Amino acid sequence: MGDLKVKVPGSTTDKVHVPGLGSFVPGEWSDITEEQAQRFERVHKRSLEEAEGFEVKKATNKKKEEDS
Amino acid sequence: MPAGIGAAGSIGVAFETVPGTYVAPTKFIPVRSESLKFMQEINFTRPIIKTSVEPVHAVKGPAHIEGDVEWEVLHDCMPYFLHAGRYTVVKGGVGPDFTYTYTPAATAQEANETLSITVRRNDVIFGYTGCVLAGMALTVDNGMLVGTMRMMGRDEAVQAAPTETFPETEPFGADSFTLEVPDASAITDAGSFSFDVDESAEAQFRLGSLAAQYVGYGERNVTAEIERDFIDRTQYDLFKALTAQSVHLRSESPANADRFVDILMHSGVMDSYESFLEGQGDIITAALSFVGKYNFTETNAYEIIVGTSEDIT
Repeated sequence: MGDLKVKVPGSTTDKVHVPGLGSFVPGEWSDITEEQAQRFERVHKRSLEEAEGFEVKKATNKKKEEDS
Repeated sequence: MPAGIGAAGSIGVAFETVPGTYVAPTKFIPVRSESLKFMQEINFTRPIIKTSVEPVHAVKGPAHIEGDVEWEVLHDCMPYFLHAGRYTVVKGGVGPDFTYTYTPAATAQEANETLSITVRRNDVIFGYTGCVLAGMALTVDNGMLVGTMRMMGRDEAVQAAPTETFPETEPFGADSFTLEVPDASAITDAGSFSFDVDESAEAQFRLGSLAAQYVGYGERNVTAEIERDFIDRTQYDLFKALTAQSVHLRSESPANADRFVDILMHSGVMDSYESFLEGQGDIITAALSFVGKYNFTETNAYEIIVGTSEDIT
């Protein structure tokens, strides 16, 4: 489980490479770490939130949810 | 800014809602090289003014965009170029795999879409607008299908930096090709293949705009060239008799038969057939050059079908 979830833009069901971030299927939520998000920001000089077409959200902590 | 190298660059494309109006890229295409440029006709005037034998004024003339994009053909990127060509497009499939069938049209300008092409060079962003496919060469080069897409467009302006994503799709390699001459008769004696389409495109200028108003198409020339081992006179006799044959190259991913680029010239007539004794140690080959003519049954000269996961709506 990563710290964040990201959805990358694209119109294919094949994986795409996002420089600085990794390999993803467009349109699907994927787990990433804070470190990946920071590396993305260094490569693209913008955060995931600022990147056009990208969606990002905090990953849900399932264990915490179950405990509560 | 320090000097940069090509590796840090990128090319992205997007279909335009209004032809000639920039749209930020939605698809990024891995390329070998590009040579897109802003072409400006400059009138250097030489009026007689007693003291000058040099140009006196530099006056703006019409401008347009042209250049090539050389790349290793990928099934998911190919539709973006072909949608911007002079084609009628039919989409098939419901996903995740789709087919796009491109049949040549006889329109005077873009038949479907125009592209905005965004190029990052040393972190400087060039936005080319109103781009269409003016012609292309598809060649099996060193066992790979390579495309040289000749683009022509209207204008250029600086744009915001995009956020790139690139397909991980592998190019078509030596295990991908089936060459048939004629269609459905596979041949295994060909060492090279190339297919070329030229739409005789020219930028069209109209009063009121510095940039081209649109890219106009003229006569279409379709050719294919194949180098084969010279075995007998069969093809040579067809050349002498001007007998039309179909020429069919299918490039298909060995891992997934739904990912392909299929080129079928319906009526190729050889305008050249060359076979020589080139040296003691040289295999005797024959260079066949086909001109694609209109096929009355198919009602076009050729078609290209692309099978891909790319969903273009």
